[in-house]
Amino acid sequence: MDPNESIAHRIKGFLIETGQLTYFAGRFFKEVFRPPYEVREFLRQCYQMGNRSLMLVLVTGFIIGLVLTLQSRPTLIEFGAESWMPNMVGISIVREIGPVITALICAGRIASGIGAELGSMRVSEQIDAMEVSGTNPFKYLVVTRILATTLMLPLLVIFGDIIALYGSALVEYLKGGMSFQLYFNKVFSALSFGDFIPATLKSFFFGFVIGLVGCYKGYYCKKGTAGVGKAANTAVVTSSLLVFFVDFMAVFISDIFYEL
Amino acid sequence: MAKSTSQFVKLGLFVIFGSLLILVTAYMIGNEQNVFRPTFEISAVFNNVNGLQKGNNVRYSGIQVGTVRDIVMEQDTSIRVYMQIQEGMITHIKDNAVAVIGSDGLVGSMLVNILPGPGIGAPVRDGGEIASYSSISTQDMLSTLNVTNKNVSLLSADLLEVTHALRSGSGVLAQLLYDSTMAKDLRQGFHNLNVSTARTEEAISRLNKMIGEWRLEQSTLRLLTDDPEFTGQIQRVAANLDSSGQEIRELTGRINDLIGGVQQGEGTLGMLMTDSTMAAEIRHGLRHLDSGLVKFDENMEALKHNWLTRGYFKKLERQQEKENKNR
Repeated sequence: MDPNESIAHRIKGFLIETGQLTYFAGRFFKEVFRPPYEVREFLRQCYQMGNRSLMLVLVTGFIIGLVLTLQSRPTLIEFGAESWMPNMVGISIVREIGPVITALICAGRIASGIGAELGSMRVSEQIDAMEVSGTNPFKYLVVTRILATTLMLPLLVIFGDIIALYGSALVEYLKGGMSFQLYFNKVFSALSFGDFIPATLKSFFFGFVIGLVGCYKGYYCKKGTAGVGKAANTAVVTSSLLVFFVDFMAVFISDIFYEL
Repeated sequence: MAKSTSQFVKLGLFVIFGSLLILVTAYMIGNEQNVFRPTFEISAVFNNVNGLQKGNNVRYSGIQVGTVRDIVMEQDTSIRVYMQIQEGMITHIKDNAVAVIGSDGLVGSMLVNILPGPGIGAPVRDGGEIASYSSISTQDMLSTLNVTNKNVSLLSADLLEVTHALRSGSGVLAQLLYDSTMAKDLRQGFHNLNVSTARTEEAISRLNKMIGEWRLEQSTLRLLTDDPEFTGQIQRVAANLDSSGQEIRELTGRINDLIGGVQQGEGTLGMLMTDSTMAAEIRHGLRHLDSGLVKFDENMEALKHNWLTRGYFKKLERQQEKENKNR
């Protein structure tokens, strides 16, 4: 194959993928407000994506808080700025590290799970069967999942943030003798709504992107068992990339609205 | 069904707890920025805000009381800083308080520190303005340090020159330091000075002694002891004094006898002192004498104006005047 033709083919494939994903998102927004509402399935998905991911997020967040503080301490001590640790860690975690790490964990766990689940349903023609039986598979399978990830991710992020701050406070308490009260006082005095609101808003978008990509990859899975694996894999890769892209966009926009 | 109910309960807990965490975090952040507390606003005008931003902390004597709400450029040299202060502080901050822009530690963010003013002031009112004081900025300190550095550089250059001159042996100081002959001369000079001082001291003590002796020779005691004529005079005076003493003693005895007689009422004086009847008669007689003298004065005055005797009195006056002129 001609290399130029290969590149053009890839670009064409990327554009088709982007267009299909956009169409998929548009269909979601069209279906989400239209009854009937699959409340029970939505709540089940919330449980699966929220509660089932909580422990993973808590453990990861705690370790991130510990590691960040342990790694930063020597440098801050060298500058005589040890007392600035709560301010630095608080702002880093709430603004950036908490939402992004939680989103990446969810991209790994949730996007792959949705991709594999919907992919296997597509492969085993369950989705086709639902269409034939008159049930709207998009509403039942896709809308509920995307909605669940969109709403659950901000909650997971706040859990992750708080546990990461506790991890950091624990290190400060054990190594620097700083009380928990003083630590959290410093954290909240350093934080402003300009840090907290954009971080919370962007975690909604992270959740939406993870659910959207996972559902898209699974819904349009190629036939065969390899297709399911590929769907799960590409769901993780694409949603992780999109998380960073959305993060960049969020920082760019929040820079305009909030003075850093 | 039972499983799904349990899942819903867990999901409910997760959602409620997560939402509460978001709310609490938002409240804590808002609380720090006085979003949920009643506040009042004051302002201060500065020439330079040194990088102060909206949302920076405001402290009153070191206590966190509010945040900077807005910074407005009023004129080309004056910037107005609006501060949102907790309402509870309105009674504590007086209208003579002074706002100073500082930083939270050496590398900390900027903040406004309100300091109590001197004397007694009225509580500041909502929307009021307080005085400001521009503290020394880092730039000012650095410019002063720059001048100091230049001076130190000049001083060190001069010092280097002096040191070079000293080491090369030119000048009096260098000779003092390095010339051994001069050091010996100096040592000898100091020794001589020492000897001279000792001798001078001795001479002065001798002089003092001589002056003392000379004064003794001139004294009265010396005269008493050395002059035979003066001694004879003294002896005669002493003999006279002795005889005078005896006479005084006799005189004193007689006077004593006299006083004793008077006290016993002997003689006229004794009667005068002791006889009360006589005293009363004398007092009566004196009173008559006094009135008689007054009348005599009147008679004499009449005699002066009498044509027979007037000439005599005028003659006396002229004689008196003549005597006065002669004096």
